[in-house]
Amino acid sequence: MRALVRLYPRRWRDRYESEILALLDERPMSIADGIDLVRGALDAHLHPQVPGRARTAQPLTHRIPGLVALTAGLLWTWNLAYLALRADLAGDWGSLAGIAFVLMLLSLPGDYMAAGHGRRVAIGLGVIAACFVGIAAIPALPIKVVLAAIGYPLIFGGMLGLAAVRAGIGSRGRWRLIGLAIALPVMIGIPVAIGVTATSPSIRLLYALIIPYGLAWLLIGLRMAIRGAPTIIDPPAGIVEPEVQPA
Amino acid sequence: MSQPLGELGRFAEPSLYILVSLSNGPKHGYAIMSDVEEMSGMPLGPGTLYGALARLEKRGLIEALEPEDRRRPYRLTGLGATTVAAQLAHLEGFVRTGLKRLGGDVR
Repeated sequence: MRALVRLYPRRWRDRYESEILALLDERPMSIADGIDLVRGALDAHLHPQVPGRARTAQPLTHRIPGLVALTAGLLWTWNLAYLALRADLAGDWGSLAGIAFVLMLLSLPGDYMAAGHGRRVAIGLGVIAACFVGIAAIPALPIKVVLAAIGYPLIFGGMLGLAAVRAGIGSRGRWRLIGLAIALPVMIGIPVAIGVTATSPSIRLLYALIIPYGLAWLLIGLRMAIRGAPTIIDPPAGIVEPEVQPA
Repeated sequence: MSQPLGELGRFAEPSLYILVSLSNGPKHGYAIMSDVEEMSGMPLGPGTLYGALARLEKRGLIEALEPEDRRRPYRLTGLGATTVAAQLAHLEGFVRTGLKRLGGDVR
């Protein structure tokens, strides 16, 4: 029954959640109380009483990263879903998913990179990712499988996490998203992959396991497009551009 | 000056109960709920209670005090006291008229 409080809008919960949970701890909840909470949550969404922050108009450029991420999610999901159904096209799967991957990367640079710290972190992560991919791509290297197994989830997870930050998703939400879209499929996928061959029907399952990653990008892209995410050409948040004095 | 509670829709009646409950001192959610149930004989659900509290707070009829542990007491504001007095006076007139028409003993 306490979970019903989560139906309320975030802003309402920030203000009243601890109080209402304390109240629910003090008395046993009846079914009527549960129905009353659901009605209350619906009312809180329809008639918000807790004032929020005033929304300022977003420049058009702030919508671009979200639309790019949304397109990437669509391409990825569509491509992998198609392959999961048509495993005979196994050799061609890189085309659209590759474009989706590039689009995912393109949605990540933002105003945070204009600040010194953000730029250093982004460059550092990029170099680490490039090293992993580069080493894993060397054909004769025996540890490449191990590196790929560690490196790719880290890279894909890092990209998803960074995009989630840009979409304004909180820490708990980010970990859940990474868990559902990457960790869980990897845990299921490893045992499947051990006994799999290119012609095995299990290859379809492997493709299907990668679909949640595209769905996660769809969700993030939609949220990023609605909320707006500054691009690298926008002034960083908190930095006010100097006004141009008339000559 | 007072505020009409009618605009609160389904929260008007619970709001009046809450204002009356707070008229003898600050109370937190559970105490308000118990007091209202005792006064009116009607249970007040947690969703209705907090829906009404949010509306009353927004209109400046009650104010939240510093939380004690996780519980936050509420108290009546000056506007809230005027409003509840006006509402009760109106109801008193209504009750008198009703009883008079029924031929009851009106003191």
